[in-house]
Amino acid sequence: MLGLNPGKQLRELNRLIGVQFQATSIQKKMKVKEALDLFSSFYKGKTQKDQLIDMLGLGEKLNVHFEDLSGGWKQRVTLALATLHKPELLFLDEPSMGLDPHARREMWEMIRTLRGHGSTIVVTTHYMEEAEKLCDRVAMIYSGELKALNTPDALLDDVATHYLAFDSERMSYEYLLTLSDVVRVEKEKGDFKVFSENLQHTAYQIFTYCHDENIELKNFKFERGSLDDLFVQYLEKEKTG
Amino acid sequence: MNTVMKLANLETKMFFRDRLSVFWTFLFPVVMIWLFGSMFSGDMAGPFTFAEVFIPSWIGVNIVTTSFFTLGTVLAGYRETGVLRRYQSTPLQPWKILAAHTVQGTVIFIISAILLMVFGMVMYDLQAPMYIGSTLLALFISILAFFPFALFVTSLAKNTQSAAAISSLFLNLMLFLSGATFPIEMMPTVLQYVAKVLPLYYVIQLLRGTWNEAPISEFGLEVGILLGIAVVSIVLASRYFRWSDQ
Repeated sequence: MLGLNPGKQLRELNRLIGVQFQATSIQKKMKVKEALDLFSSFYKGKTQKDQLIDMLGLGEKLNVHFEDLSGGWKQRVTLALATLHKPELLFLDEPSMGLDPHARREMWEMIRTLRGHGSTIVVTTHYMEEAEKLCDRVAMIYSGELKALNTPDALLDDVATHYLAFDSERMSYEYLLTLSDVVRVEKEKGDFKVFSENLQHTAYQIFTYCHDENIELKNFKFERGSLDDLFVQYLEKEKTG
Repeated sequence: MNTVMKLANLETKMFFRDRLSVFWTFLFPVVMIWLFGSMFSGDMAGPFTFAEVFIPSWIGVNIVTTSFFTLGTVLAGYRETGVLRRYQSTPLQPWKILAAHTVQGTVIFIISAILLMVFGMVMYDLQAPMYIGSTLLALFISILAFFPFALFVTSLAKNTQSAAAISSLFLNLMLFLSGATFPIEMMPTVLQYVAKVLPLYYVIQLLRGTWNEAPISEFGLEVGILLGIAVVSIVLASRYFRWSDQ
């Protein structure tokens, strides 16, 4: 890793990497300021402590004990501790776990800024949306096996994740299944999802059918599946063999 | 070295931010001395006054509380909550963490010892130790034996609660059976033998002896046993030290 052997040169390696663990804490009674000072002293040379305080808005919390911070602020502090020394490689384990939607977006913004500074960042997450929005490359790992590795765009281009979505009261589920390109149809009350190998042709068939049968279609959309769908698809492929 | 002192300084500050640990470490022993004093101070059997017997004993007890609670239980908590694991991903060397906690423990112990001694001098006309160099050396040897001993024992615990339970067990056993609070001579013969198995017994013999009677050179047996405990527990503590429970 980074030209070093983790077994033999762990200390040298630890100077170059940063790790933000999931749900670990620092000493409860330690002030934010003290934690930043202490961790700065572990590294040679000047750290980017002051820039991080600005960037993460930690200024107002410097004298607060770690145990009195909210979840979002704790994550910011531990993110700061992991990045003080401008690590070349930064590991973030579920960085937005337990954050409210607003705090999560802010966390993403910070991670993007850090990426902009030139660090390679490895993020572990259960939120597919997070992977999709944040990452240049996504690896899907299930029960210890690598299932997919590519850019989010390339992963999303995978055929089976594309579908047509529409609402209709009277649309026939059975008819949709008879169409030649259709792979799978999901129906929940009046909401349909039609997975097809040829979306345009299937759309044409559906529209013709509805026109002839005088069936009303609402909210017709060409949908690109999310990484969520892709993940489920890999799992199902696995189950069916 | 800079990092060791910085960490020791921070840990000491954080200790004082926790009111409960301040009470148990500093005030509880003084209150106990005061309680025992109001019961026994008039009628001591033997050649020594109440303070000459009990102040050195409680200074010894404080070595136990510092080792088990200020060091052992706190580090078990750090192991459980991932504080140590976070250190592990930085260039900080492990020995510096242990060194910092040892310095912090020693500082807190010294404060508590001075507090007890001054209390004894003011309330019970206690004299300063007869062989002050010997007493200091005795304290050093006792710390050397007890700090790693407590670190080893509490590192066997899975979490803070069980570390605290183990610590309380050891503290109470030693408190009542090693002659710190009840004179050994008053105990049944069986318990007198039990007392001699507990390391605190030797600490107390050494502290009382150098305070009131003779220089440390007269206490070869006690010094030997404590140094033995020190060597064994330093080996055990470093071999079984863990950063996390995974």
